[in-house]
Amino acid sequence: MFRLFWLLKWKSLKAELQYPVNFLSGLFGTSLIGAMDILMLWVPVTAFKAIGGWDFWQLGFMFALWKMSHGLHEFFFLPFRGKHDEFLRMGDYDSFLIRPMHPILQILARSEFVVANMLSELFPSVTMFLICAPHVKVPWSMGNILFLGLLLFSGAVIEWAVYLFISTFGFWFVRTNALRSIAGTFLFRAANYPLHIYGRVFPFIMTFVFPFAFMAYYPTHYFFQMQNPLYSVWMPYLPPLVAIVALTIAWGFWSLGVQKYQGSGT
Amino acid sequence: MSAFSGARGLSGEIWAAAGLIRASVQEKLVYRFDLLVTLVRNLILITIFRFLWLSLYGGQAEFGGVSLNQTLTYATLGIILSPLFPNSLILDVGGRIRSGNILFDISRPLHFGSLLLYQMMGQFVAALATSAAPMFLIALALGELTLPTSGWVWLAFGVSLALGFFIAFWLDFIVALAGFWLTETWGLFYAKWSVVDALSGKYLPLWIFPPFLRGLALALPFRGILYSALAIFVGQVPLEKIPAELGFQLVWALMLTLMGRLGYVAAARHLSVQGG
Amino acid sequence: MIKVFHLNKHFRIAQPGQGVAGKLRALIAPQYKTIRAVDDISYTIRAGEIIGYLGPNGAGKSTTIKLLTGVLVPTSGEVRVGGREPHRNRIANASQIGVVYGQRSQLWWDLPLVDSFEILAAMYRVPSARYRQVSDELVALLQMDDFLNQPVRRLSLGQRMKGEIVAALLHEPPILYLDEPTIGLDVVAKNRILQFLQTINAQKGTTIVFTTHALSDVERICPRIIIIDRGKVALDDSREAILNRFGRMRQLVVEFEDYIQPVALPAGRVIKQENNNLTIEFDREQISAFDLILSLKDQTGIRDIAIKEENIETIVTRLYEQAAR
Repeated sequence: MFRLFWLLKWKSLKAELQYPVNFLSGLFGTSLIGAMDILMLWVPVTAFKAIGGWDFWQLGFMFALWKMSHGLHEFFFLPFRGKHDEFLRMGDYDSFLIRPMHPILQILARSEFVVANMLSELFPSVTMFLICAPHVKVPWSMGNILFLGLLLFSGAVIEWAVYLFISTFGFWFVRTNALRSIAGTFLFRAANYPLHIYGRVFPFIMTFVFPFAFMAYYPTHYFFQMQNPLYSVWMPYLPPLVAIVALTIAWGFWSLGVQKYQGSGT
Repeated sequence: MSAFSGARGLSGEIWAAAGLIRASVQEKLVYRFDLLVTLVRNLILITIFRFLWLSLYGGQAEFGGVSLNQTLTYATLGIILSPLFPNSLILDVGGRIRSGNILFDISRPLHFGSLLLYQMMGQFVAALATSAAPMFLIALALGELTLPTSGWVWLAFGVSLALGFFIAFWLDFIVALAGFWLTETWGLFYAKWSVVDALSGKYLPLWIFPPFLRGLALALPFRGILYSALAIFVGQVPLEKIPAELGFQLVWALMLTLMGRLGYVAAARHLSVQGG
Repeated sequence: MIKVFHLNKHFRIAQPGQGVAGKLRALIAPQYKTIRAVDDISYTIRAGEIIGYLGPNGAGKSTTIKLLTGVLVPTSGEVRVGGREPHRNRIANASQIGVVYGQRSQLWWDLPLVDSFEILAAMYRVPSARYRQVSDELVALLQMDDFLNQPVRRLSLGQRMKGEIVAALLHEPPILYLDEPTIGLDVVAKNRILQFLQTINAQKGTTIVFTTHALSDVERICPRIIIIDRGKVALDDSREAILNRFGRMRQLVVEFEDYIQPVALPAGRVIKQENNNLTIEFDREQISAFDLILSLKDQTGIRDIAIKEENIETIVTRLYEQAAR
């Protein structure tokens, strides 16, 4: 199964490289979005010295964690944020359901431009990470590096779980772009700044509804050795658990949705 | 041809424009659900930036000569108005070129640029009426906006917004012309999008930029899209400097129109040589 | 091989309300309309048969295929494919069937055709030696060598359809479903594909179920034809029997230079006479079109001639007429 997954990713890279100009210009263009996001942090921080008590290096570190996670998401899980509605509308599901492989895995394999997408997230984020990490005084140890890896992957799974859940609404409604766009606003805009500046409602949403805060905001507390995150002192350690729970819920919901597609649900 | 000969000239052009604008308005109204989504999205964005500015001001009423109220008005209005401006023509035109539908567009008795311009004007009007105006009232009710007291400022704001539309359109059109040469255009789309987002002052007012970046942003045409109108509205452009600000926009609008027209001549020649 | 017994598939479709009040009502208490896409169908298909599954658009052909492949779950009744219920054993069923949709693609658009084959072979766990053997054989049969390394998006419709069929056969399924595979194909491509299906059936004993709405497609290769209309089996019989009953009738439409004199025909009957146009229905077993035209040569100059075969819609109409009689 994993061999097949990598074969499909390899083929998809091959497909991307069929359009080298598009690959490179896409890489450049989407990397600029990252640069723009960094600018959106750097400009106010330069003018006002800090956002919610965090300096530029701390904000940059958090941004880097978020974006590296997001980059992994793009590589592994992109189609559920992208083309799922189209697969339903165009009837691709009929093909997914007649092959001896789980449809969700087939959909993950069906992505386009995953490599360009991943690299355009990783360029700005890894750069930011390398710039900011020395300033925030993280006590790097082998355990911390492994934990960082686990956190990044958990973050990617959390983002995937949210979009898998949203995509599943497509089995009942033709378009899910309303929810997608709202979740995207939290993911791409609200997650850039530290959660504690947002009062009470937004932190609740980003912790319990769209748990994007576990992608970077809570884990940064661990690396900065900050004592009192919102809600509980355990929050920085929870991302792997949140990832498992969120994915289980979303996967279960999807299974209901596909039953509806096959006409045995309602 | 003969059917059109009676409606040629300026009156024919206006007739065609009115038809296209009306069609775009109607098209927009079909997707009423999308309007609701835009509303919710805008409310979320307004909240995000409201909290950001509150946190940055940290209880002070003023920073660097700009009051918190001015900044909040700027941020809110920027979020409300930015969806009005065309920014994805390149995807549209690129798609039409790949599918070959461009042949229909360029065989209409109307300049291709004008065709798109009128369609975008229709979308501008429709978005203004259906999303920006209600959002404006909601934001006003929420106390996010401080309104200018002078009628001249209101007038200048309106003019500036209109000029901003033309700058945004022709910039977008010029970038879209690249679609005539390139087969895939999404990289360019994102690149242009990021630059416009940053330099038009959509999210952050240019006055908080560090000096050298501010100098750069103020010299480029992108500021004319949104920053000019917003800065006039919140009173960051003094009354006596408003004519200069509008003049800056007007000059760029004209220059970009000219560049767009000339660029299209080259693109059309390329298309006729390459056969699409 | 395939057994279908009192099979039903009904869809409930919410009716959109009329006007603002109606729309609101539809939101709170939706009104449903039941569509009987497949309505009490029974038949048995033996291993090695080629079945032509005919019916007008919207008759329930695709729904049946989806029930047979396990994509849809039946409302009631029984489906067994190779002894299994497809929707309960979707994955096990998957490896014994191949499916081709004429209007959709299961190939990877931007990749060379051969890459799609490799991916599918891996997905179906075909050992690599076996994969090479099977694909070489199929590729040779369909003469696909010259476009095997082209990206799918650059293939012509005919080339792509050959690719779709090979893609569906790489894991050597005993059953092949083809859902309107000939739609939009030119005659040459269509003939090659039909011939290929016959060869596969003869050599490997593959059971083939072939849906279409063009009688002429299945006439050549399907010994048995099932006609379906409005979800019901309208007719299930051998090709010979059906052609004898219905396929013999032709229509000859002749346009004359001038007004038509009354005519005495050696066979057939005039079904329409309008200005300069004359439509004659005839039985091709009784008289050839050529003889029929010859018999009209005394008329003032013939300007144009068209011969129309009976299409599936008229056959189905006729079936109902006969049933009513």
